[in-house]
Amino acid sequence: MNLKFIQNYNELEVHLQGEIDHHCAAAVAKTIDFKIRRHRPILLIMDFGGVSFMDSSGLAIVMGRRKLMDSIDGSVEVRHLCNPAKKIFEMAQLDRYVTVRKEV
Amino acid sequence: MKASNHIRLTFPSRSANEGFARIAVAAFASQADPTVEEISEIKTAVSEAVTNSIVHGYKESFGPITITARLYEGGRLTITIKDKGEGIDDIKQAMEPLFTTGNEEERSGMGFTIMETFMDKVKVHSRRGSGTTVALTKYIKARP
Ligand SMILES: Nc1ncnc2c1ncn2[C@@H]1O[C@H](COP(=O)(O)OP(=O)(O)OP(=O)(O)O)[C@@H](O)[C@H]1O
Ligand SMILES: [Mg+2]
Repeated sequence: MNLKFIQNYNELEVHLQGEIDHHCAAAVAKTIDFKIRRHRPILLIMDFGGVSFMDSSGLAIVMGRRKLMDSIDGSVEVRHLCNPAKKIFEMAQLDRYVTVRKEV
Repeated sequence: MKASNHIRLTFPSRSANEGFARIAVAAFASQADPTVEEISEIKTAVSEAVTNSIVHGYKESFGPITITARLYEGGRLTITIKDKGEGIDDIKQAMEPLFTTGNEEERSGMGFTIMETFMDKVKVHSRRGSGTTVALTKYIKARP
């Protein structure tokens, strides 16, 4: 798993690339949290466009970041979800907690 | 019916093996000519079961995980994931969506729901103290 960050004004964008599983989850969470604490964005954008595999560990990564963003009065938007990650997000009804951008 | 082919792999419950396990099973399943979507569903279900053995079965310890995959004529694929860990007290409750005994920062209680959605059948055998076996079945449809 590889992470690329783009910061523009008060938004922080993280592009997740590769496979998300339990093996890499703790390191991914830690790296993103470090950036959030440093930049204190209003919006965290998590872009799943480069994700080739995701299991339930990905859900906890999103929910954990939303909790941290909540604590600094920010929010989370998820982008470029495709199957099977998209189905997993739907099963967990994650759109009740974060914004899932409609892709055109 | 006799399986037309099978594999068995045993590996220690280290998280570094999660990727290996799902890719090995997916490579075996590819003999039945599944779609890209079917392959990723199989990979995800295997990843859920293997992760459960690692994080719940062998919580504070390490032990062996054995995967057996069998392919039958007509495209029936069965996969069992077996650990000799703690076991589950109440299987019905464990399989409910959002139920977790894990750390809520890391787990969301969706593993069994994902397995049930992506596979055609999920059966769990478990005994407290002696381990858990998850049996997954998927019918890989023949394509013209
Ligand atoms: N192999 C196992 N050994 C012991 N307990 C298990 C095993 N597999 C599952 N469980 C129990 O069943 C519960 C539900 O499992 P499930 O995979 O659905 O959710 P989770 O692992 O807690 O969270 P998630 O899979 O979303 O990360 C677990 O919290 C655990 O208590
Ligand atoms: Mg699980």
